[in-house]
Amino acid sequence: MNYKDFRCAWIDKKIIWDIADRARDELWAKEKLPIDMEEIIELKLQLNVEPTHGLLNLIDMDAYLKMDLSGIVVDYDSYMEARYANRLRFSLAHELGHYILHKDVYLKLNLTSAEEWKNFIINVPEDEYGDFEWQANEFAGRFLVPHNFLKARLDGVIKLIKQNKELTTYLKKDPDAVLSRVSPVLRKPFGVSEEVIERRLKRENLWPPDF
Amino acid sequence: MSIFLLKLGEILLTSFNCGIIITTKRKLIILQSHGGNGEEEEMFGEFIKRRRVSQGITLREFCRRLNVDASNWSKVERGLLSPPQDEEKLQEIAQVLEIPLNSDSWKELRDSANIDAGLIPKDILSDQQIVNALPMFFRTIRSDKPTQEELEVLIEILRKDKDIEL
Repeated sequence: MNYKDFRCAWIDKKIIWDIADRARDELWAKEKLPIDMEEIIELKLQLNVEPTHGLLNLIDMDAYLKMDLSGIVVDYDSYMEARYANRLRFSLAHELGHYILHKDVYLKLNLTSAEEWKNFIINVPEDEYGDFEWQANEFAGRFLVPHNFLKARLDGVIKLIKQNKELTTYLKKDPDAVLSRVSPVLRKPFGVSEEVIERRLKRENLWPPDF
Repeated sequence: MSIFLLKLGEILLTSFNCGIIITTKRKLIILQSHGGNGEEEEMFGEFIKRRRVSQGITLREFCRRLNVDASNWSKVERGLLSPPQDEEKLQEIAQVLEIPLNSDSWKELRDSANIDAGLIPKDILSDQQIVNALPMFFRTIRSDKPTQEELEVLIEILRKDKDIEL
Protein backbone atom coordinates (compact mmCIF):
# COMPACT_ATOMS: atom_id res chain seq x y z
CA MET A 1 0.00 0.00 0.00
CA ASN A 2 1.17 3.49 -0.79
CA TYR A 3 0.76 5.21 2.56
CA LYS A 4 0.86 8.64 0.92
CA ASP A 5 -2.68 7.84 -0.29
CA PHE A 6 -3.85 6.99 3.22
CA ARG A 7 -6.94 9.07 4.02
CA CYS A 8 -8.90 9.88 7.16
CA ALA A 9 -12.65 9.62 6.62
CA TRP A 10 -14.43 12.86 7.46
CA ILE A 11 -16.70 12.60 10.50
CA ASP A 12 -18.94 15.57 11.24
CA LYS A 13 -18.48 17.04 14.71
CA LYS A 14 -22.12 16.38 15.59
CA ILE A 15 -21.70 12.72 14.77
CA ILE A 16 -18.60 12.60 16.98
CA TRP A 17 -20.56 14.28 19.80
CA ASP A 18 -23.36 11.78 19.43
CA ILE A 19 -20.93 8.86 19.50
CA ALA A 20 -19.20 10.32 22.58
CA ASP A 21 -22.53 10.89 24.37
CA ARG A 22 -23.70 7.37 23.66
CA ALA A 23 -20.35 5.89 24.70
CA ARG A 24 -20.55 7.82 27.99
CA ASP A 25 -24.10 6.62 28.63
CA GLU A 26 -22.89 3.08 28.08
CA LEU A 27 -19.62 3.23 30.03
CA TRP A 28 -20.30 5.78 32.76
CA ALA A 29 -23.90 5.48 33.83
CA LYS A 30 -23.32 7.77 36.78
CA GLU A 31 -24.07 11.40 37.43
CA LYS A 32 -20.67 11.60 39.08
CA LEU A 33 -17.91 13.90 37.84
CA PRO A 34 -15.07 13.86 37.02
CA ILE A 35 -15.28 10.77 34.88
CA ASP A 36 -12.85 8.09 36.01
CA MET A 37 -11.17 6.99 32.80
CA GLU A 38 -9.09 4.29 34.46
CA GLU A 39 -12.25 2.65 35.68
CA ILE A 40 -13.69 2.74 32.16
CA ILE A 41 -10.56 1.55 30.36
CA GLU A 42 -9.40 -1.09 32.80
CA LEU A 43 -12.45 -2.29 34.64
CA LYS A 44 -15.26 -1.80 32.09
CA LEU A 45 -13.51 -2.38 28.77
CA GLN A 46 -10.81 -4.57 30.33
CA LEU A 47 -8.10 -3.08 28.16
CA ASN A 48 -4.59 -3.20 29.57
CA VAL A 49 -3.01 -0.02 30.84
CA GLU A 50 0.72 -0.34 30.24
CA PRO A 51 2.81 2.30 32.03
CA THR A 52 6.15 2.75 30.28
CA HIS A 53 9.16 4.67 31.54
CA GLY A 54 10.55 7.51 29.44
CA LEU A 55 7.69 7.83 26.97
CA LEU A 56 7.21 11.55 27.59
CA ASN A 57 10.81 12.45 28.42
CA LEU A 58 12.41 10.66 25.51
CA ILE A 59 9.87 10.92 22.73
CA ASP A 60 7.27 13.49 23.80
CA MET A 61 4.43 10.95 23.95
CA ASP A 62 1.75 10.93 26.62
CA ALA A 63 -0.02 7.77 25.56
CA TYR A 64 -0.99 5.58 22.66
CA LEU A 65 -3.36 2.81 21.72
CA LYS A 66 -1.50 -0.34 20.74
CA MET A 67 -1.82 -1.52 17.17
CA ASP A 68 -3.39 -4.82 18.31
CA LEU A 69 -5.99 -2.86 20.36
CA SER A 70 -5.15 -4.86 23.49
CA GLY A 71 -4.24 -1.87 25.62
CA ILE A 72 -3.10 1.70 26.07
CA VAL A 73 0.54 2.52 26.73
CA VAL A 74 0.95 5.54 29.02
CA ASP A 75 3.94 7.50 30.21
CA TYR A 76 4.90 6.13 33.64
CA ASP A 77 5.30 9.47 35.42
CA SER A 78 2.08 10.87 34.00
CA TYR A 79 0.36 7.71 35.18
CA MET A 80 1.72 7.63 38.71
CA GLU A 81 1.86 11.28 39.72
CA ALA A 82 -1.35 12.86 40.98
CA ARG A 83 -0.46 16.28 39.56
CA TYR A 84 -0.88 14.85 36.05
CA ALA A 85 -4.28 13.30 36.79
CA ASN A 86 -6.22 15.63 34.47
CA ARG A 87 -3.76 15.18 31.65
CA LEU A 88 -3.92 11.39 32.07
CA ARG A 89 -7.71 11.54 32.06
CA PHE A 90 -7.70 13.38 28.75
CA SER A 91 -5.05 11.07 27.28
CA LEU A 92 -7.11 7.98 28.10
CA ALA A 93 -10.28 9.60 26.72
CA HIS A 94 -8.37 10.54 23.55
CA GLU A 95 -7.21 6.93 23.11
CA LEU A 96 -10.74 5.71 23.78
CA GLY A 97 -11.73 8.01 20.92
CA HIS A 98 -9.27 6.26 18.61
CA TYR A 99 -10.52 2.90 19.89
CA ILE A 100 -14.14 3.72 19.09
CA LEU A 101 -13.80 5.93 16.00
CA HIS A 102 -10.85 4.34 14.26
CA LYS A 103 -11.01 0.66 15.20
CA ASP A 104 -11.65 -0.37 11.59
CA VAL A 105 -8.62 1.57 10.39
CA TYR A 106 -6.41 -0.22 12.94
CA LEU A 107 -7.74 -3.61 11.99
CA LYS A 108 -7.37 -3.07 8.25
CA LEU A 109 -3.77 -1.95 8.37
CA ASN A 110 -1.78 -5.14 8.22
CA LEU A 111 1.78 -4.16 9.14
CA THR A 112 4.22 -7.00 9.71
CA SER A 113 7.50 -5.38 10.71
CA ALA A 114 8.87 -2.40 12.58
CA GLU A 115 10.38 -1.12 9.32
CA GLU A 116 7.00 -1.23 7.63
CA TRP A 117 5.48 0.60 10.60
CA LYS A 118 8.09 3.36 10.38
CA ASN A 119 7.44 3.63 6.68
CA PHE A 120 3.72 4.00 7.39
CA ILE A 121 4.10 6.73 10.03
CA ILE A 122 6.57 8.72 7.99
CA ASN A 123 4.51 8.57 4.81
CA VAL A 124 1.02 9.20 6.17
CA PRO A 125 0.22 12.74 5.03
CA GLU A 126 0.51 15.22 7.92
CA ASP A 127 -2.99 16.60 7.26
CA GLU A 128 -4.58 13.16 7.38
CA TYR A 129 -2.70 12.35 10.58
CA GLY A 130 -3.92 15.65 12.02
CA ASP A 131 -7.53 14.76 11.18
CA PHE A 132 -7.36 11.48 13.09
CA GLU A 133 -5.96 13.36 16.09
CA TRP A 134 -8.55 16.11 15.79
CA GLN A 135 -11.37 13.56 15.82
CA ALA A 136 -9.97 11.79 18.88
CA ASN A 137 -9.60 15.15 20.67
CA GLU A 138 -13.14 16.16 19.82
CA PHE A 139 -14.40 12.85 21.15
CA ALA A 140 -12.37 13.16 24.36
CA GLY A 141 -13.54 16.71 25.10
CA ARG A 142 -17.19 15.87 24.58
CA PHE A 143 -16.90 12.61 26.51
CA LEU A 144 -15.33 14.25 29.58
CA VAL A 145 -17.45 17.39 29.51
CA PRO A 146 -21.11 16.40 29.13
CA HIS A 147 -23.03 19.19 27.43
CA ASN A 148 -25.87 19.44 29.97
CA PHE A 149 -23.50 19.68 32.92
CA LEU A 150 -21.43 22.31 31.15
CA LYS A 151 -24.52 24.33 30.24
CA ALA A 152 -25.77 24.20 33.84
CA ARG A 153 -22.41 25.33 35.22
CA LEU A 154 -22.20 28.09 32.66
CA ASP A 155 -25.70 29.34 33.49
CA GLY A 156 -24.57 29.78 37.08
CA VAL A 157 -21.53 31.76 35.98
CA ILE A 158 -23.61 33.95 33.64
CA LYS A 159 -25.90 34.85 36.53
CA LEU A 160 -22.87 36.08 38.46
CA ILE A 161 -21.58 38.03 35.46
CA LYS A 162 -24.95 39.74 35.07
CA GLN A 163 -24.77 40.92 38.66
CA ASN A 164 -21.39 42.50 38.00
CA LYS A 165 -21.64 45.59 35.79
CA GLU A 166 -17.91 45.75 35.18
CA LEU A 167 -17.75 42.14 33.96
CA THR A 168 -20.78 42.66 31.73
CA THR A 169 -18.97 45.53 30.04
CA TYR A 170 -15.77 43.50 29.69
CA LEU A 171 -17.76 40.61 28.22
CA LYS A 172 -19.05 42.83 25.43
CA LYS A 173 -15.60 44.27 24.74
CA ASP A 174 -13.48 41.15 25.03
CA PRO A 175 -15.31 37.83 25.58
CA ASP A 176 -12.08 35.81 25.44
CA ALA A 177 -10.60 37.77 28.34
CA VAL A 178 -13.68 37.08 30.47
CA LEU A 179 -13.59 33.44 29.43
CA SER A 180 -10.04 33.14 30.74
CA ARG A 181 -11.38 34.35 34.11
CA VAL A 182 -14.29 31.91 34.28
CA SER A 183 -12.72 28.80 32.77
CA PRO A 184 -10.63 27.97 35.89
CA VAL A 185 -13.91 27.81 37.85
CA LEU A 186 -15.79 25.91 35.17
CA ARG A 187 -13.16 23.24 34.57
CA LYS A 188 -12.87 21.95 38.14
CA PRO A 189 -15.76 19.47 38.38
CA PHE A 190 -14.87 17.94 35.01
CA GLY A 191 -11.21 17.32 35.85
CA VAL A 192 -9.94 18.81 32.62
CA SER A 193 -7.71 21.74 31.69
CA GLU A 194 -8.90 25.30 31.08
CA GLU A 195 -7.98 24.80 27.43
CA VAL A 196 -10.42 21.89 27.14
CA ILE A 197 -13.26 23.87 28.76
CA GLU A 198 -12.66 26.92 26.58
CA ARG A 199 -12.63 24.73 23.50
CA ARG A 200 -15.88 23.01 24.50
CA LEU A 201 -17.67 26.31 25.14
CA LYS A 202 -16.68 27.67 21.76
CA ARG A 203 -17.19 24.45 19.79
CA GLU A 204 -20.67 24.05 21.25
CA ASN A 205 -21.62 27.69 20.64
CA LEU A 206 -22.01 28.43 24.34
CA TRP A 207 -19.50 31.27 24.35
CA PRO A 208 -19.81 34.23 24.21
CA PRO A 209 -23.24 34.00 25.88
CA ASP A 210 -26.21 35.97 24.57
CA PHE A 211 -27.23 38.79 26.87
CA MET B 1 -0.93 -43.04 22.34
CA SER B 2 1.56 -42.88 25.23
CA ILE B 3 0.62 -42.81 28.91
CA PHE B 4 2.99 -41.31 31.51
CA LEU B 5 2.63 -41.71 35.25
CA LEU B 6 3.80 -38.54 36.95
CA LYS B 7 4.56 -37.81 40.57
CA LEU B 8 3.13 -34.69 42.17
CA GLY B 9 4.97 -31.62 40.98
CA GLU B 10 6.77 -33.46 38.22
CA ILE B 11 7.03 -31.69 34.89
CA LEU B 12 6.98 -33.45 31.56
CA LEU B 13 7.94 -31.62 28.40
CA THR B 14 6.31 -33.47 25.56
CA SER B 15 6.85 -33.26 21.87
CA PHE B 16 3.27 -34.36 21.30
CA ASN B 17 0.44 -32.05 20.49
CA CYS B 18 -0.46 -31.11 24.02
CA GLY B 19 2.59 -29.07 25.00
CA ILE B 20 3.74 -29.05 28.62
CA ILE B 21 2.10 -31.17 31.29
CA ILE B 22 2.49 -30.34 34.96
CA THR B 23 0.97 -32.14 37.91
CA THR B 24 0.02 -30.38 41.09
CA LYS B 25 -1.63 -31.65 44.26
CA ARG B 26 -4.99 -30.74 42.83
CA LYS B 27 -4.98 -31.31 39.14
CA LEU B 28 -3.26 -32.11 35.94
CA ILE B 29 -2.46 -28.93 34.11
CA ILE B 30 -1.77 -28.70 30.41
CA LEU B 31 0.02 -25.50 29.47
CA GLN B 32 1.00 -23.92 26.19
CA SER B 33 -1.20 -26.22 24.23
CA HIS B 34 -0.17 -26.33 20.58
CA GLY B 35 -3.31 -27.47 18.89
CA GLY B 36 -4.20 -30.25 21.29
CA ASN B 37 -7.55 -30.52 22.99
CA GLY B 38 -6.14 -29.93 26.47
CA GLU B 39 -7.60 -27.21 28.66
CA GLU B 40 -5.35 -24.14 28.87
CA GLU B 41 -4.61 -23.25 32.46
CA GLU B 42 -4.83 -19.65 33.60
CA MET B 43 -1.41 -18.07 34.00
CA PHE B 44 -0.43 -16.25 37.20
CA GLY B 45 -0.77 -12.84 35.55
CA GLU B 46 -4.20 -13.62 34.14
CA PHE B 47 -5.35 -14.95 37.50
CA ILE B 48 -4.22 -11.79 39.31
CA LYS B 49 -5.68 -9.45 36.72
CA ARG B 50 -9.02 -11.24 36.76
CA ARG B 51 -9.21 -11.05 40.56
CA ARG B 52 -8.05 -7.45 40.62
CA VAL B 53 -10.54 -6.30 37.99
CA SER B 54 -13.41 -8.22 39.57
CA GLN B 55 -12.72 -6.34 42.81
CA GLY B 56 -12.64 -3.00 41.02
CA ILE B 57 -8.97 -2.28 41.75
CA THR B 58 -7.09 -0.41 39.04
CA LEU B 59 -3.50 -1.31 38.20
CA ARG B 60 -2.26 1.94 39.73
CA GLU B 61 -4.11 1.40 42.99
CA PHE B 62 -2.99 -2.22 43.17
CA CYS B 63 0.67 -1.28 42.64
CA ARG B 64 0.45 1.49 45.22
CA ARG B 65 -0.91 -0.90 47.82
CA LEU B 66 1.80 -3.44 47.03
CA ASN B 67 4.56 -0.90 46.55
CA VAL B 68 5.64 -2.39 43.23
CA ASP B 69 6.57 -0.69 39.95
CA ALA B 70 3.40 -0.44 37.84
CA SER B 71 5.33 -0.78 34.59
CA ASN B 72 6.85 -4.09 35.66
CA TRP B 73 3.65 -5.33 37.27
CA SER B 74 1.75 -4.69 34.06
CA LYS B 75 4.26 -7.00 32.36
CA VAL B 76 3.76 -9.68 35.03
CA GLU B 77 0.01 -9.59 34.35
CA ARG B 78 0.64 -9.89 30.60
CA GLY B 79 2.99 -12.84 31.09
CA LEU B 80 6.10 -10.94 30.00
CA LEU B 81 7.87 -11.03 33.37
CA SER B 82 8.16 -13.79 35.95
CA PRO B 83 5.85 -13.62 38.96
CA PRO B 84 7.42 -12.91 42.35
CA GLN B 85 8.64 -16.01 44.17
CA ASP B 86 8.98 -14.45 47.60
CA GLU B 87 6.36 -15.99 49.93
CA GLU B 88 5.93 -12.72 51.82
CA LYS B 89 5.15 -10.79 48.62
CA LEU B 90 2.72 -13.47 47.51
CA GLN B 91 0.96 -13.18 50.86
CA GLU B 92 0.76 -9.40 50.44
CA ILE B 93 -0.82 -9.91 47.01
CA ALA B 94 -3.32 -12.34 48.51
CA GLN B 95 -4.16 -9.83 51.22
CA VAL B 96 -4.83 -7.03 48.70
CA LEU B 97 -7.02 -9.39 46.68
CA GLU B 98 -8.75 -10.59 49.85
CA ILE B 99 -7.70 -14.17 49.28
CA PRO B 100 -7.59 -16.05 52.59
CA LEU B 101 -4.34 -17.94 53.17
CA ASN B 102 -4.82 -21.70 52.92
CA SER B 103 -7.88 -21.27 50.70
CA ASP B 104 -7.96 -22.96 47.28
CA SER B 105 -7.43 -19.59 45.61
CA TRP B 106 -4.31 -18.98 47.70
CA LYS B 107 -2.93 -22.36 46.68
CA GLU B 108 -3.72 -21.59 43.06
CA LEU B 109 -1.96 -18.23 43.33
CA ARG B 110 1.16 -19.73 44.91
CA ASP B 111 1.28 -22.72 42.59
CA SER B 112 0.87 -20.66 39.45
CA ALA B 113 3.60 -18.24 40.64
CA ASN B 114 5.96 -21.20 40.97
CA ILE B 115 4.95 -22.81 37.71
CA ASP B 116 5.03 -19.64 35.61
CA ALA B 117 8.47 -18.67 36.86
CA GLY B 118 9.93 -21.31 34.56
CA LEU B 119 7.66 -20.59 31.62
CA ILE B 120 8.08 -16.91 30.92
CA PRO B 121 9.78 -16.72 27.53
CA LYS B 122 13.13 -14.97 27.56
CA ASP B 123 13.49 -14.72 23.81
CA ILE B 124 13.43 -11.49 21.88
CA LEU B 125 10.05 -10.27 20.67
CA SER B 126 9.22 -11.20 17.13
CA ASP B 127 8.73 -8.48 14.54
CA GLN B 128 4.98 -9.02 14.64
CA GLN B 129 4.89 -8.77 18.46
CA ILE B 130 6.81 -5.50 18.23
CA VAL B 131 4.39 -4.17 15.62
CA ASN B 132 1.42 -5.16 17.79
CA ALA B 133 2.87 -3.10 20.62
CA LEU B 134 3.44 -0.02 18.46
CA PRO B 135 0.95 2.82 17.91
CA MET B 136 -0.83 3.95 14.81
CA PHE B 137 -1.39 7.40 16.28
CA PHE B 138 0.19 9.09 19.29
CA ARG B 139 -1.01 11.60 21.81
CA THR B 140 1.82 14.11 22.03
CA ILE B 141 2.19 17.58 23.47
CA ARG B 142 2.84 19.15 20.08
CA SER B 143 0.09 17.16 18.27
CA ASP B 144 2.08 16.25 15.20
CA LYS B 145 3.90 13.23 13.87
CA PRO B 146 7.08 12.10 15.62
CA THR B 147 10.41 12.26 13.84
CA GLN B 148 12.10 9.17 12.42
CA GLU B 149 14.57 9.32 15.32
CA GLU B 150 11.72 9.26 17.85
CA LEU B 151 10.14 6.29 16.09
CA GLU B 152 13.42 4.40 16.41
CA VAL B 153 13.67 5.30 20.11
CA LEU B 154 10.18 3.90 20.67
CA ILE B 155 11.05 0.61 18.97
CA GLU B 156 14.16 0.44 21.14
CA ILE B 157 12.14 1.09 24.32
CA LEU B 158 9.82 -1.80 23.44
CA ARG B 159 12.71 -4.15 22.68
CA LYS B 160 14.49 -3.27 25.93
CA ASP B 161 11.27 -3.53 27.90
CA LYS B 162 11.31 -7.24 27.29
CA ASP B 163 14.59 -7.65 29.16
CA ILE B 164 13.58 -5.92 32.41
CA GLU B 165 13.41 -8.16 35.47
CA LEU B 166 10.98 -7.58 38.32
